[in-house]
Amino acid sequence: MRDLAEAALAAGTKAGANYCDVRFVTRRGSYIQVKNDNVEAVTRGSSQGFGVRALVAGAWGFSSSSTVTKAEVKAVAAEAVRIARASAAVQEKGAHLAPEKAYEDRHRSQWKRDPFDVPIEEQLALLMDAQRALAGDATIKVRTASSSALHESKVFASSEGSYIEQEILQSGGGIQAVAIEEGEVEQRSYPTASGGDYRLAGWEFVEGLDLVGHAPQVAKEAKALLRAKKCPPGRTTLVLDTNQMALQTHESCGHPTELDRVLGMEASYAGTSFMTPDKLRKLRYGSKAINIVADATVPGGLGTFGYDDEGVKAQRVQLIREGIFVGYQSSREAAQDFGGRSSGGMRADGWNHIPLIRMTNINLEPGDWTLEEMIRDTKEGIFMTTNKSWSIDDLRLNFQFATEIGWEIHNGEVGEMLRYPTYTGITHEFWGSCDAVGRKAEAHLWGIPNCGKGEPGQTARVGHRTSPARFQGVRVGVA
Amino acid sequence: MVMAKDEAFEIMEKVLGLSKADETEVLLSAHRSALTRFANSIIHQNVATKDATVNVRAVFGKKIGVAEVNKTDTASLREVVARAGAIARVQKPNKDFKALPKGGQIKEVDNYSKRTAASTPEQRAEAVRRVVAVAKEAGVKAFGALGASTHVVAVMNSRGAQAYDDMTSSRLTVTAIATDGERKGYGWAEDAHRDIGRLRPEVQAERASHKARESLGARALEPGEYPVVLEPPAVADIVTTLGFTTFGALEYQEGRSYIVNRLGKRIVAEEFSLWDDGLAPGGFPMAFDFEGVPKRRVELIADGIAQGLVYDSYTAGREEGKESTGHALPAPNPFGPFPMNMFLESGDATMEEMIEDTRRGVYVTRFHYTNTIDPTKTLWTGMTRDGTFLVEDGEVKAAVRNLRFTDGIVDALAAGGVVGKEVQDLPFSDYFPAGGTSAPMVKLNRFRFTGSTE
Repeated sequence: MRDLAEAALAAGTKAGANYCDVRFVTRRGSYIQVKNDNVEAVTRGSSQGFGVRALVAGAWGFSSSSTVTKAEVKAVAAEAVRIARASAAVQEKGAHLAPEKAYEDRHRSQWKRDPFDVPIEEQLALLMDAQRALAGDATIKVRTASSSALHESKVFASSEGSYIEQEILQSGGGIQAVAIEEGEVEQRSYPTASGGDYRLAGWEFVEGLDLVGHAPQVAKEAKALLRAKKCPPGRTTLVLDTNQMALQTHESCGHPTELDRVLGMEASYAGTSFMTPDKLRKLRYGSKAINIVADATVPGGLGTFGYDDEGVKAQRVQLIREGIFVGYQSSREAAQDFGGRSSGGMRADGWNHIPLIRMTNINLEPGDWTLEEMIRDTKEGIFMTTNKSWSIDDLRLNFQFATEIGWEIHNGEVGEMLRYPTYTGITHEFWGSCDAVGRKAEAHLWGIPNCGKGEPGQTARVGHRTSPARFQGVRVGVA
Repeated sequence: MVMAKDEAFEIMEKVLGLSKADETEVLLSAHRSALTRFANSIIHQNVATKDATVNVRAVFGKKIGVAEVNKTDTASLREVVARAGAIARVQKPNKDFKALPKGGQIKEVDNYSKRTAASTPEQRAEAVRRVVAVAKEAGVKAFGALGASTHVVAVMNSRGAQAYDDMTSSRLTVTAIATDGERKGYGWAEDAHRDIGRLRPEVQAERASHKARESLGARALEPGEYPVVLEPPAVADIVTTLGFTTFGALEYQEGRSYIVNRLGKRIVAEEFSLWDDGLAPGGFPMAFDFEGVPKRRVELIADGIAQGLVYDSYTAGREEGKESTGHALPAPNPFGPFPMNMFLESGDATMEEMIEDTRRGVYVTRFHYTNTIDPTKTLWTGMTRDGTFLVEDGEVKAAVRNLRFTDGIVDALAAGGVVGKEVQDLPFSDYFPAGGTSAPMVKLNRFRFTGSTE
């Protein structure tokens, strides 16, 4: 591969690039879904190709191809330079890259059982057992179990001298029961919704989820929700479980601290951010209990790697310190405007996309509470778990979430089950009302495999290590 | 042309010849796509790619395996056929599977432009330069994207289905941001056509710029129920979400659709009629689905009454006497069939008439981050974006801060309204030429806003 990389860089440089890099990526994917005793999907795909990024007079061009030959590599590099020259026609000051060391290195994630080697029969048997364990009550009409895996090997080389080989394997899965009765439909999922939980690991992670063992409780709660009381509207104390805290952190801290959004690069699609540079180190984003980091080094996260897709070494960056907004997720280009270094957050979805600033693992640092203590310390409130619906405005200020299930809290004890648990707020007001964060032992590293961004659309796989947390005076029961 | 019909058929015939399965389907997708993105009135991202993917579905009895590869050489085809077959052999039978579809006569649709297929990065940059020039003249910054793509989709199966389509698309989106001290105003416009030469950069730039300037100094508006005047992108968001969550046969069969027990009954006001037509030019057509089945027009709502569902071969096989309507997605597809080319029937009203007829309401350019809370009640939430205005006494009075809606969409449509004559064809994707929604402006008599932003 090194000779092809050198050919690409030489062709790009010869065509006039001031900087260029090339990524060769091979991906293998696996997806299995079983539903109501039927195998709905078993598929294995592979995709191989490369992309060349060229910077010419401060303007970017990118071209990519699935034909991995020396002739094609040279042609695509030249095409990237041609596109960059076209970009130069509509420029002002031009892009520059913050300095970065050149690396020659290899990185490989750890796993025990490669899902591409584990017999499909064995994987199907586990998932069939899990969805079967959801059965038993007539109201449970849809029983689903699924798993997926992604294996990626890639080579990054740059005209600055980097040559980095990386290999990662990610696996995950989950179950869901849908209960239907008299026009009412409710769902419960485990470990969380949208396909379950994911980790930088092999099939052993799916085995460790104990999908079969958790299925009866999932089905029981789905059925019970059909006749549960609707979440009453009003303002109350809200305790969120770790899985909902993962999405809350993702949407209201992860995305607004992406520096490309802040600088307007996503304005036409996903929007911008209220966390503008004038607020850096001044904005009180949350209460003193809130500390949030972007950490690409945490073991097992979907946002864990050796180097990002412009060759910057994985690192840990503070975003929120004791409630104050102190840092951004950045790229070499975005960081240059701030006179700093990249946070190492540039990630591309496969060979055919440019890297964008993407979340790595956006983690809420633990506090010193247990979930039990939070509930015991709450006179009146609601506990919510497992995301069902999410929405947030284009500045990342006004959000509204629905979870699958909630419970009333009365005088420090969990009470009646609630359906339609929804809550809404303004980001900095909400985080500012946080008065309790769960301790380290309560934290869970969640994997979200479907974070969308960019045009053309890209999907990133990101992590969030979050603890349960408590918020005061939150508006609930909107739906 | 990305891949000629002869070449595509040769590859697919080779796959079928290599397969030892009882039934085999091959879906070939090849494309060359490019997209120029601009922000702060400069081009900041500019990309191109080309790829060809072979997706093989192998069937032994009722056991199905799917494998995919993005290579078309013989060794890769042999490997992907073997992989699909190996997966199928170790499967459990799917008792609901009947057979791969036989296909049918494919109609010609007009969805290709030589000009788009031959478009260059220099031409895209020139179009962006024209957008930026208008924005600069208006004193605003321009953001957006101009995409152009050429796609071939071809399907062949061992039961005789054969289909090939060569399509192009182009799309220009423009967001304008006006700044006045601390105040910001936002505006949006978009244009899409199979022929890139039909896009109108100056017109869209002017529309977005004007709206951005008008949006400066947006003030707070108390949430509550208001009549709303919705521009086509906002209507398309509602219609698309309604179609995806309500009119697919799988959701219906599983009891997760709003129209369970409501087919043939009135669900919305009589002024609304909705259908899916994969052959009509406005809906970004493709003449067949991803199983090679010819598209059929399906009435979804006629004069407010729920009429029908869209099917693929799998969901059709689960109901007595049903046939696929040509709405399959690529295998394996656990999501079921979707209406991919929806049309909301236009009316007679102009935008001016809708505004003039509104005593106090909200004018919405488009929605953002619409998401479903309960599909069985069509209960959704989302935000307004890029130009939200208060209408009072028949006039657009002032820009207002973005509002959050939380409402049962069918309930809102049932409360009635007025359908406009101005229609916009809006594609789902910058990159894939087929699929979109054709939507007129609509005024709804009531719409529930539950919050607003800062």
